[in-house]
This record gives sequence, structure tokens and C-alpha cells, in this order.
Amino acid sequence: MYNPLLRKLSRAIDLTAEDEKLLNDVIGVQRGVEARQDIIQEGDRPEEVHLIVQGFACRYKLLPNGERQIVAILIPGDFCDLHVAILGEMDHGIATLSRCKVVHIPRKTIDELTRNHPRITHALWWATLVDEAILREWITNLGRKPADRHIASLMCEMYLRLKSIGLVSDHTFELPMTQQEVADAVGISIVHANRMLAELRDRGLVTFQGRRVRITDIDELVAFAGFNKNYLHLRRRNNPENGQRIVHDQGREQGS
Amino acid sequence: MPLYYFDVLDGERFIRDDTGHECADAAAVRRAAIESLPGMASDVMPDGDRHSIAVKVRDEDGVYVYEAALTLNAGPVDR
Repeated sequence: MYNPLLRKLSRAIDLTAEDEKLLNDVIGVQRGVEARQDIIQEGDRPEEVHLIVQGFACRYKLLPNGERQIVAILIPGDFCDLHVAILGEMDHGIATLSRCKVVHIPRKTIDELTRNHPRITHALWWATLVDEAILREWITNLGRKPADRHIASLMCEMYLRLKSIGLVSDHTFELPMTQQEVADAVGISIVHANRMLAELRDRGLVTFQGRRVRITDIDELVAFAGFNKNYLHLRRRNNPENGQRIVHDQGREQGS
Repeated sequence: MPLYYFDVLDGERFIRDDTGHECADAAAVRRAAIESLPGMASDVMPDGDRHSIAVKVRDEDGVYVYEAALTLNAGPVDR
């Protein structure tokens, strides 16, 4: 069974067979949600934790004038509201970008996992920290990157995140975002977003086939974007407690 | 809602809008045109002492109905 949560958390730490079984068991009933629907709203106090297993969603905040800032994009394997068990109340909304399949996990299940399974708790903590690292990158991009480099960076990020869960083939991936949604994520006007997307295409960096994006040359796009993938923490840190072997060569570590 | 096309004149470069956006009324057209300018301008300026960036809005019949522009004029004060 393809379990995007397991695939993601396996990057955090070596999971035992028992851990893997628990994470597979957590994928219970999947409910379909149409595109552009709220999964959860700001102010909600959900009793269940929501996990995306298929499709794309976004975290967003609304401004008093009705404008929206998308503050994160969620892909399969991403929890919507894991933190709400601790924080109590949603301080932002989550909406689907495409049709999604969402698993509802009772809070009790998460409590039980975190109380009795330290490796899983470590992995969940890791996932939250990576989300935080992504936010730092978004703040930097929103604050300082020109729009064309910013959108290019977003595409690099989605490419790598989707690749890590097996959803990229032939440098092509789905990005089910309208121009308004891209504008909302990048903090620019829709007219500007339209122009910048056309520019990326005219520069030969990407091609669009409906909602699918094909990256012509990832190295070129990365260079254009000024993108550094370090914040995605795609490689596991070498740590003997993780069960990974470190091979020493005259005192220097050699990573995987 | 009717579609409007927001062409951009960035200095000498003309970029045609092939997608278009729905606008409910004239106020929405105006808002979309004006609000788009500062963001685009901040990306391209300052790259010289004189730069103008404009948005020209076309309706579905191809008739231009609105335009908005931002201009940078910079230079030392002549003594």
C-alpha cells in the first residue's frame, strides 16, 4: 500500500516494522473533499486530526479586505492540524486546491502514538520542524525575492517535495493552482502572477500542460530561482542513534 | 462575469495577456490594474533613471477600456 505519511516520516528516523504497521493502520477511512473547499477554518477546535493522503491543499489566512495569503502548500502525507492537539485552536484555515482524500484520525490515536512510540513522536516532531523551516524560506522569499525568482523557487520546492513522495515523473508534476492561488501564495497581484508565469515559460524554464508543470532543466531553474534546498531537509542527518551507519574515512564522515 | 485582458508595457517591452481575468465591473478593472503596478514596478526598478510601467486593459472584443501607469524619473538636481 502506498502510504505517503510513512514515506515522509521514514526520512526522519529509522522506523521499526512495528512503527510502520502503526502508521499504516492510521490510514483508515478516507473521505473525499472537492476542490476549493475548506477542510478546516480559522477558529475551529477540531476533535480529529486531518491527514492528506491524496491531492493538494493549502494553509491560508484571510485579511479584513477579503484578500488571502496562502502560507503553505500541503501534499499527500502532510497533516493539516497535528499541532492543534497542543495549541487547541486553529489560527489559520486549510482549504483544498484540488480534489483531496483526507483521513480523519481521532485525537486519542495520536495521543496513544505519541505516548507509547518515541520513534514516531520523533518523526512527527521532525515533520513539524521541517514545516517551520519551509515557513522561514517563505518569509525570506516574500520579503526579498523578486516575483519571477519567487515563483521559480516555489516550483523548485514543489518539485522536490513531490519527488520525495514519488509524485514526479519525467520532471513533470501536478500543481493544481489557479493564477489567483499562485498570486496568493507569492503575495502579488494576479496580473503580476500571470506575467511571471508567462515569463518562466518564455525563458524555457518550465512548460505548462493544464495543471501539470514540466521543468525543462531543474539545475537551470534552481540557479534562476536562487534556490537552496537545504531547508527541505531531504537528507537524513547522520546520527548513530538513527541506526544509520557512518563510514569513516581517515576521520571524515561519509554521508549517504 | 466578463473577461478582461491586462496587457503590460514594461519600458519598451509589450507583454500580452493571453489568459484574461474575470472582473465584475469597472471598479474591479480599475482596482486590478492599479494594484498590479507597485509590485511589478518594484521588481523592475530601479534599472535606470527613467522607467515607465503601464497596464492597458482590453475587453473581450479587443477594445482597450482602461490604462494605468507608474513612472520613475530620477536624477541629480542641476546646480
